[in-house]
Amino acid sequence: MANTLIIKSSILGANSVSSSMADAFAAIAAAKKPDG
Amino acid sequence: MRSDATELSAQATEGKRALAELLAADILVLAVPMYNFSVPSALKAWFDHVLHPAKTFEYTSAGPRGLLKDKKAVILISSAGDYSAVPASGMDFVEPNLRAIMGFMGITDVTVIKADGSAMGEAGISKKSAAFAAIEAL
Repeated sequence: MANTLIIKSSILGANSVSSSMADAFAAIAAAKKPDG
Repeated sequence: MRSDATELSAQATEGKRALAELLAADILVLAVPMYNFSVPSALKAWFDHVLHPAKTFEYTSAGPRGLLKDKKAVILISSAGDYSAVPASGMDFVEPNLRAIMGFMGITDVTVIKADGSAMGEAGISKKSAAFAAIEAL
């Protein structure tokens, strides 16, 4: 089983549009991990 | 308040943990918002810990050589503005930076998914949907 390391790098929270989207990307990636 | 020495020791411990996590991984996923045309400072700090000589790269007589040959990377980049075409593309210091660092560490299997223009109305919404679909398809 592949070991996936997810680095969520946003630090500005919901005040930043790009942060919110990057966090959503990270959440989807985490959900796709075999160990979820 | 911690002393400077204590703070440095804590940072070194955190750096060792970050490096160990990377070395143990088969797939590296980076979720990266663009801040002021570059990567978040926290991600720069993470790279400063994991770009470690003799662990992730080494210098040879022929120049630098990456040591993470068997890993793949998926890079997810979001930005409020659209940097997909000139002249704005010249201000994108995220994707070129991340591709360079992956290559420096020897990671050549790199997939980049971008969602530009998330604050730019319908075009951004379309790119966001495409990015989510691309992530789901991985």
